[in-house]
Amino acid sequence: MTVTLGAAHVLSPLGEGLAASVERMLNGATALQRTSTAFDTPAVLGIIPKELLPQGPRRIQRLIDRCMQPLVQELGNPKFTDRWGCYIATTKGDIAALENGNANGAALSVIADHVQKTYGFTDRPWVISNACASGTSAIAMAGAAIERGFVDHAVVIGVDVLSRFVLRGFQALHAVSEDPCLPFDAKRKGTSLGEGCAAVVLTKDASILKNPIGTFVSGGIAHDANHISGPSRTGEGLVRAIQCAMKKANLSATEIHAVNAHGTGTDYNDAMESIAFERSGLSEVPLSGYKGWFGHTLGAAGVLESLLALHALNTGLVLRNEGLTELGVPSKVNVLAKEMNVEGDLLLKTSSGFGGCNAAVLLRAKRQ
Amino acid sequence: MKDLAHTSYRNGHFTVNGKLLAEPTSSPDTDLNNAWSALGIELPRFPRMDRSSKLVAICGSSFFIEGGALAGHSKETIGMVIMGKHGSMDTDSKYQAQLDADNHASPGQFVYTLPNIAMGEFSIQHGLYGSGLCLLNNAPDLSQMREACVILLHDHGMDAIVCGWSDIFADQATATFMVVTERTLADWNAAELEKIFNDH
Repeated sequence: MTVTLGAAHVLSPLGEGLAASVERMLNGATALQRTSTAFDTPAVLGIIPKELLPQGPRRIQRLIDRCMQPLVQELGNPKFTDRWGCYIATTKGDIAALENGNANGAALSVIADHVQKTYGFTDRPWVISNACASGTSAIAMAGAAIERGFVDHAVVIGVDVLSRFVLRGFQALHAVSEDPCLPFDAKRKGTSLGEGCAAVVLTKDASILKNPIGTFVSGGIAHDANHISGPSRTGEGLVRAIQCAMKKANLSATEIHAVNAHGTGTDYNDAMESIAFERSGLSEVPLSGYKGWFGHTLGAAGVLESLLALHALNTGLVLRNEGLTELGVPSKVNVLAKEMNVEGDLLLKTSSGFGGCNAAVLLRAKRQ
Repeated sequence: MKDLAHTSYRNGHFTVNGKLLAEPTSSPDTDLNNAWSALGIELPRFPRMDRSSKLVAICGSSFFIEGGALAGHSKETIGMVIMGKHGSMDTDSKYQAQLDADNHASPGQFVYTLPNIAMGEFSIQHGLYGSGLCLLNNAPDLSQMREACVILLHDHGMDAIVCGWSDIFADQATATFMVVTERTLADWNAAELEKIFNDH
């Protein structure tokens, strides 16, 4: 069975839509911006432009709706029967509701309530919260659910918004850079936080899609059983997640043409990833991470970055790792300081998160 | 499903395969500590964990004690599917209260403000490298749990899943865990499981 991806829509600090976002990544500058007003503390953040998403209450629901409406429209307003699944990836949902003491409003399951009610899903949407590996995990689960026959089609939504709660926490951990983050660079000093939403349909029936963008090949999820807020020094969990995806698809590292890494810009994460990629036989494969463009969008990251990378690969490109001047990780990896033309179509997307979660998906671009 | 290995915490009663682990009190915190003592299992990080992690640790660890369903099982192939309603909200609220009170963000609390951290702690305690999935829902959803277990067993190379519902917020705490294997899937009885998970 072939599981096809399409009807994709993204909203991030880069702007709206895959084509416009990738265009900016080819010809524009980072969307990270310095601000001292957003959460009463100086920070470099990736903020969705206010003309696309005004500040105000229920921001996460408005963001989801802004992303879902074009998707639904492209599908011709289908009925989301019990043959449809919905997989929502998020880490903190509407955590800002907690500032007003509204714990019920901040619960992640509220997002599933909203999506089910607004779009009429017969079955309860899944909410997957595997930290920063949530988005990639959601794609892996949705693809497998279709292959296993649990559903025929699935909508995957990755979403998270900026909040004082998360920003202050990352600052307390000394994990935030004072300048735009520089993933894999020798001068990296931490991550930058961002926000975004990405939605995509996975289906066994490609005829429902006007613009298929690729196919799901396989996925893997693994823990590294190391530390709740620090990655394994050996990259063990990420290696296992990659191996799981490759084994399931009966593919080897030499058949992978591009890697879209997690690349947070923190010392330990980027070092861990380089070790895991080298251990996985991926040292020569063109690789980039996108957080230098719009920051770490947490639960949205896996979906948003997968779709951007897939769209670029459809045009034969692996986009550059924004901010890279001098590679500064312990193991050999082929991080791109400039975009590169590639012949192949097989993309590996990886994500890693607190709690020792790691996820990997293999996606095949539909070359145009 | 007579051989189903399961643990539950409900109305103050911790039970392992239906057998009471420790006498209930009126406090989930006391119940958690008493259950930890009664289990007699090495959990060096237990005193430092948040309450959500403690609840998962107690329920999940019961399968690893001598004679438990996963005692001596290869830890390479044990997966986890943990579902709850409030996720990390118990710790989120404490972290937010301190942030509001004196603008201090506690790094020690912040690292527990993700729903999957309890699963991460559990994987660290037992050295589990398997696939894990943290799910949020308003109530135990056995259909989602079953689908997740099938995918982890059939597509991710796992051969046993610690699967369950774990929810703790303020003074309310409930949990039901089970071990899911191929045999469990073959014997799957939705009505019986609904009773185990939802019979208050």
